[in-house]
Amino acid sequence: MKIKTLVAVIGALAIFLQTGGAEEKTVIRFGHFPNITHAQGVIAHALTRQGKGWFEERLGPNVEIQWFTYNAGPSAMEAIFAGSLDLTYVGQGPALNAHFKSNGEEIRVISGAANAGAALVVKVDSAIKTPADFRGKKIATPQLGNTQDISCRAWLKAQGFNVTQTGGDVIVVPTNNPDQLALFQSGGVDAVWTVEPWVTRLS
Amino acid sequence: MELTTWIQEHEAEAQKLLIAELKEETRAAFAPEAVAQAWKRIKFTTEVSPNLIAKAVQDGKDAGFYKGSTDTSKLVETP
Repeated sequence: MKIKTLVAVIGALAIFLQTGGAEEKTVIRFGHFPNITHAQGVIAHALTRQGKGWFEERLGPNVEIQWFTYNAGPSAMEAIFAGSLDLTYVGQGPALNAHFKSNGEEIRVISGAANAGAALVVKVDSAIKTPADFRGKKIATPQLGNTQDISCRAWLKAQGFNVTQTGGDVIVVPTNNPDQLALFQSGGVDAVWTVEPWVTRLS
Repeated sequence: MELTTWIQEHEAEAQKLLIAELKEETRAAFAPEAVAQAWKRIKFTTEVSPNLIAKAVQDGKDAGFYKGSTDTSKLVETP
């Protein structure tokens, strides 16, 4: 019996309990992204992999933790709505979007996990010196509708730019975090708005 | 909350576990010094900041993602 879907802002510790028979194992499906801002999930996943599970040790032998990784929030929230994930570390943007889409009924934040860690990166020798210089440029974000993507689009709008999902004064190019470096180095994008450790990898 | 506290109190061990897991998941190798530098830019906390939520709601509306009700009165639930 599924009780409720629980989500957290930029990561979270979540407990979703499912009761079963005495012999039946309870499976809890956790999501997280390979980001430092999801350190709790990444580290707990590592400990599960080593057979020293953080949550397993605290929840007992009748609980099995399964881990699933996502590039960014919208994909994780799709998994939540599809019933293939019980809880996830996620940024505030997709968590709010899912909360609103379910009219406040399906999604709950049960804990914070991390603040900050995102940045807009341009090259040192870039022609971009002021916000106005972004006109006609391309900015990569992890995924359409993820937290950095929403922040980026809101910031561009505040600078007076018209930005649509596929075009406008500045082109926002959704790009998976691991793929951003090559695109940035090749000049395929002029800037990247993402999160750690991918920010440092670009620096 | 307990895991967040452990991470705050065991930075070196936490970073080592994180680097190993990132390699497993992404095949990308992160230098310990780079992760330590990035670590300084992040605050690990279980707090859900009302200001952060309010800013995120406004950003989502400005960016055209949130249409209709943006009531967050039932968003946060402590187990």
